[in-house]
Amino acid sequence: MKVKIKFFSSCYDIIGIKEMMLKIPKNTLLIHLFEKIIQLYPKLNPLKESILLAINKEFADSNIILYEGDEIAIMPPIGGG
Amino acid sequence: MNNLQYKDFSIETIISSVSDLKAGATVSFIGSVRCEDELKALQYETYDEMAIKVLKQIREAAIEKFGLIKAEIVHRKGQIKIGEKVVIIACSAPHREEAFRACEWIISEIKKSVPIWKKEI
Repeated sequence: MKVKIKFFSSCYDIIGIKEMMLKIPKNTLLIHLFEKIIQLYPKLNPLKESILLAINKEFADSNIILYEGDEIAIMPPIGGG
Repeated sequence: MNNLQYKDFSIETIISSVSDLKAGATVSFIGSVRCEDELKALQYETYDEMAIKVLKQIREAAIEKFGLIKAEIVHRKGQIKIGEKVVIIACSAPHREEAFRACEWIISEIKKSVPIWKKEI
């Protein structure tokens, strides 16, 4: 199945990719996808502990199962206002 | 009302939008880009769809939590120069205490959970 991954702010700056589709096995957990992304883009590793993850526009625990068509956001700590 | 926009907002319009005959208090908070060292402006990047959704959730949660009569939040994005406004929160309530507390709670929640990032220019 395929999922969409979006990168924001410094995560985007580091890897130069805004959006990508990735094929993953069924029942993949968010944490496993995130580890795969870190493997693909090791430059993100220093940010690993502070990165925020969202699925379909909601912050998500890393042990959540992903489904076909999910939109995953990879974000550094936020800071509006 | 759009809660996330490039253009500047009118303070008067937003404060007026929360006015109500049952409101004994209206409190507003305005966040701006302050002058600091070499800073010329801040560039605000957003995850639009999620930011709009979370801002709406925060507004609704504040109305419920503090028993507000009305509340509005507008946050800007894009390049914002020194001295310009970035965010406005307006809350109306029967009494001042809830309105003050709600404004502070809302800005804290925005800083914690709305996907907006700023870079110095």
